[in-house]
Amino acid sequence: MNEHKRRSTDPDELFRTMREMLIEAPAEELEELAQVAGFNAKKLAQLGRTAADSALQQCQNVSGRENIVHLHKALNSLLVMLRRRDGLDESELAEKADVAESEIRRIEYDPGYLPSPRTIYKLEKVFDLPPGVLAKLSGAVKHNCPELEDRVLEFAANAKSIGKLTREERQLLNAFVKFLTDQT
Amino acid sequence: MSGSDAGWGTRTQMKPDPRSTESPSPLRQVIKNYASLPEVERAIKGLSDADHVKLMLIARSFCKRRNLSINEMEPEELLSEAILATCNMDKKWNKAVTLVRHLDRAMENISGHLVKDRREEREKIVSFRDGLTPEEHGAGSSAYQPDSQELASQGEEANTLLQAVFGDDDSAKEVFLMRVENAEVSEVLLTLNLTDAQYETISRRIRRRIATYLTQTK
Repeated sequence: MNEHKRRSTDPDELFRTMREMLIEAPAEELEELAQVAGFNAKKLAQLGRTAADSALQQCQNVSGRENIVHLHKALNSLLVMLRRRDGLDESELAEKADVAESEIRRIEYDPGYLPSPRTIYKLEKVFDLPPGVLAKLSGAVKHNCPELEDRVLEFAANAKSIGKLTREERQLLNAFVKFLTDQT
Repeated sequence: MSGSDAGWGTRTQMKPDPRSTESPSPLRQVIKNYASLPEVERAIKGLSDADHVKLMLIARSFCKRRNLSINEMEPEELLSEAILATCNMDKKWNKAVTLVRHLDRAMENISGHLVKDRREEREKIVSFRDGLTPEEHGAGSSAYQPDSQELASQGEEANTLLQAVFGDDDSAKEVFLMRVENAEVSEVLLTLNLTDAQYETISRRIRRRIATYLTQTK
């Protein structure tokens, strides 16, 4: 045993083995272990569960926020491309849809901006889109389409913001609108 | 409380997925063995009360051993951080190890970083006080190797730790030290001339001593 003692001089290694032995403890021993450590096992388990729930909640919030930002980026790009397709500038679109020009700008430039359902409805009318197509990208309508996020990212990455639509852009736009329409 | 009580060890941890019979490449096997977010979430929700007690005892032990102050991190925050890092894939869970073991390593890593940050902050303050740049102050520290005096001090710390945990319980200390050396149970039984029942009794005693030490002392 002296050889073991001589070799085991790393306190971190001792500490790791201590934890390892705790991890190996059978479930029926845990209440006793908590007690000798000065804790109530049920309360300790509850604390652990609360910590886990809080982490899971945070994780869901972060991924939810990221999804909304992706959707909004696609909404920005889609609106710009629809406007370019119809040869409208921001003020003309605002007038046609009867919404403030500043709101059009915010939808186009601010991925964190959440447009009102009424604005979305008016824009869908102006561009002659089936109801719900833009609403899906505003995050106001929940979707159950696992493919949506990939398509949204693909569209947002390939969409440009100035000039007349090229043939490829028109194809991209039509394909994306058709995809959204099929999902509604 | 017995093992049959509801909530105590009644839920099992997620086991690693059985390997495919297609013999994928070693790299693909490694990639495939990392848990996805839904798998992580399912496994975390499936942790039993016993698992949570283990994790909380371990989290408390890190806070004690690494002297994490209230301002730095509470045990439940440390556990929460480890779970969040696993969900975010900052600390990927290799399903070849149990989730509890993975979270233990994640907490070790996170608390280690906190201690490192604290040390660096202190060095910055000292170098500012001494009129040195942090680089000048830390010159040569990247090539740091413990000298014989520090190794002796590590040995002293280990002996103090063993004494604090095991006191005069030599049989427990001997079994524990063999575990530190990764000895198989059969080897421990043979070397120390123990029966299975004696080994179990000693192991139980070791766990009691460890639980007491890890959470109640610095």
